[in-house]
Amino acid sequence: MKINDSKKPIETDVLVIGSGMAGLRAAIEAKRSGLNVLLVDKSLLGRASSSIYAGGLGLEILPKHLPYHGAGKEKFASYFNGTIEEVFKKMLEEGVSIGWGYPYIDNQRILMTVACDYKLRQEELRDFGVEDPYSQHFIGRPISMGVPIILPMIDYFKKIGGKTIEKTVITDLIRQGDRIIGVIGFDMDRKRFVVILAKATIMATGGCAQVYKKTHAPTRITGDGYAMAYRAGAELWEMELVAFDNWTIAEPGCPQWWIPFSYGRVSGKLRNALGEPFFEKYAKENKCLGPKATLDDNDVMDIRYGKALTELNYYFWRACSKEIREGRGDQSAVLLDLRDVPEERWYYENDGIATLNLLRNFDWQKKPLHISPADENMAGGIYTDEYFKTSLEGFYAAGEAGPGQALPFCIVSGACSGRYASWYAREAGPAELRDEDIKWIDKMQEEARKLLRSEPNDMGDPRGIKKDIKETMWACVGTLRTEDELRKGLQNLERIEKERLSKLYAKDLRDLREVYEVINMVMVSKMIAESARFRTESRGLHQRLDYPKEDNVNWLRNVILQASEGGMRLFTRPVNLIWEKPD
Amino acid sequence: MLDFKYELQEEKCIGCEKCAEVCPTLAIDFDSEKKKAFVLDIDQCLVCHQCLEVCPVEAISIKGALWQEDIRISKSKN
Repeated sequence: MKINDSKKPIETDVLVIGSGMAGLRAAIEAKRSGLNVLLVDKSLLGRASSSIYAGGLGLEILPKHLPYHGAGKEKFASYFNGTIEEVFKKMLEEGVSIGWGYPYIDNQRILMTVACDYKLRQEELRDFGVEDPYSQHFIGRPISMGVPIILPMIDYFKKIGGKTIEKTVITDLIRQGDRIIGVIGFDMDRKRFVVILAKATIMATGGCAQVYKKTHAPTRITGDGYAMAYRAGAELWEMELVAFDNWTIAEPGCPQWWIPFSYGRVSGKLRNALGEPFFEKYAKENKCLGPKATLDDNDVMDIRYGKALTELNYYFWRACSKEIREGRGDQSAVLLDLRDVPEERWYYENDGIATLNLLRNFDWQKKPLHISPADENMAGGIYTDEYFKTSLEGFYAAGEAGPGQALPFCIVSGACSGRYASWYAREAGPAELRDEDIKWIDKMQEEARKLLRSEPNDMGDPRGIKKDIKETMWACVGTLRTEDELRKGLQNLERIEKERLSKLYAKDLRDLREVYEVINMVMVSKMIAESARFRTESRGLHQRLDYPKEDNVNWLRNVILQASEGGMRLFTRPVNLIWEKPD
Repeated sequence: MLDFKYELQEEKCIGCEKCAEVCPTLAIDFDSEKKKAFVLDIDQCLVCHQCLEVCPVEAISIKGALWQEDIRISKSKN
């Protein structure tokens, strides 16, 4: 298959890569400041992002939701209810998100920005034509609950004059000195290479959850932004902090997807293969139960355990992983017994009926359901300061590609990065190609042509390699980690890199996208494994069986990684504890 | 258990790739040689309705699944 040269570079003031919540919000902010803004996605705009399947904006309970609110008051964490100080403290102890937990190692200024800004940013979605920014979890679409938020934002961005390109895969950043001046890639529809020159570039490509076998992220979430930033020499941080979720269906004949929060789900009972209610014991040992916990199976979970379930999330996956690892799981899963849940409870809110759709081939009234921990998203990412600027000039990162995760973080980091990138673009000199850049672009395009000329072969099948990466990562770099397994995982990844990446081939540009995804996935997997090996303590999301204690003496530090001539370079930087310190 | 039925009519498909692009679980894939979308593994379908919405020629239909009109509040609370 042939691919045409791009005739001349596309020029813009601000370029945004990725059209999920963070990218869209960044693009809107930059456009509203009056600059030329181009939004690029490797698939259809917005629709292939994980924001489409995320419900994180609907975590507040408003009076109009009460009729749908079957479970106790705490079913949804009122995470952003409370004073700015309370919200800040909660995020500091639990992470820039909802109870996933990575205490005290975030940039406190970023946390404060999110705490101060989040409610305004959520309400402001109405300006972009979003009818109801608050009801994702209650009223509206099951599963794809981001559609009524993302699609109006795309329309709004186009209406105010924003430019968009779909199905255009960005493969690398163009670096000139310490500055990023644009990107290269290829357009799948027009079958040609593209070069985009931008005064400022915002990376909003989302996470990398597809590197794990067990995940419930959409197919295209392959860590492209992390890998491109790494290749360009930018710093990444906290790559060991992968956020897992406990409630993923592990039943043959059912989709591997999480069971959304619902009155039905919180009425279930968590059991191991021996039928024991293991979570109670685990929770007592780890002192995570609320003071009013009833531990009565007839109560819904938040009353049973006395706490908002979002705050218990990471205790759940830790407990389940422990059961499975110690041989009390069934087929690498634990059991969620839904047999006693009255059927009408599923019809309460969209999350309940979404679950009935997911379990359409499974008789939950007759037998308990296998569930498993799975990768949900990445807490680390491209390192940025509180202005969402990366370690390179003219290069910004927002959302999961940047230093945090979850929708509340996406709308805040999107808006901020959009604003600061446009300030930079206003002052910056033009982005122009020099001879050496053109030579480098020719070389990169020749490599892509070579992939398109290569003969199909078993070793180089991109989907086959993806499967191997996913298996390795789940087996060796999963929820509970040890030095031995991490080393084994790295060996496997290096073998894949050495023996199979050179055999990659692409029959067409759809394949070529898969090929670049594979290259990026191997790179990102190595980053996760290396960072996880490097942090010799357990902290929140990062659980080492060989270093089970949180170590505030040695590890109030961030693990930073960067490409160097000798390969991946890892080092630490102390956390700036400007306002709060752990006890 | 639901009486779920997913149908992709090959003769209507114009090969625009859109459904395969938006499918989050590879339930639908695209055959580049035949230039047609096809069902790869319908058990992985989340019933998110995105493929149905982006299809320009109404080649996709979903029957027997629940949707937002099925949200109803039960009287027996708790």
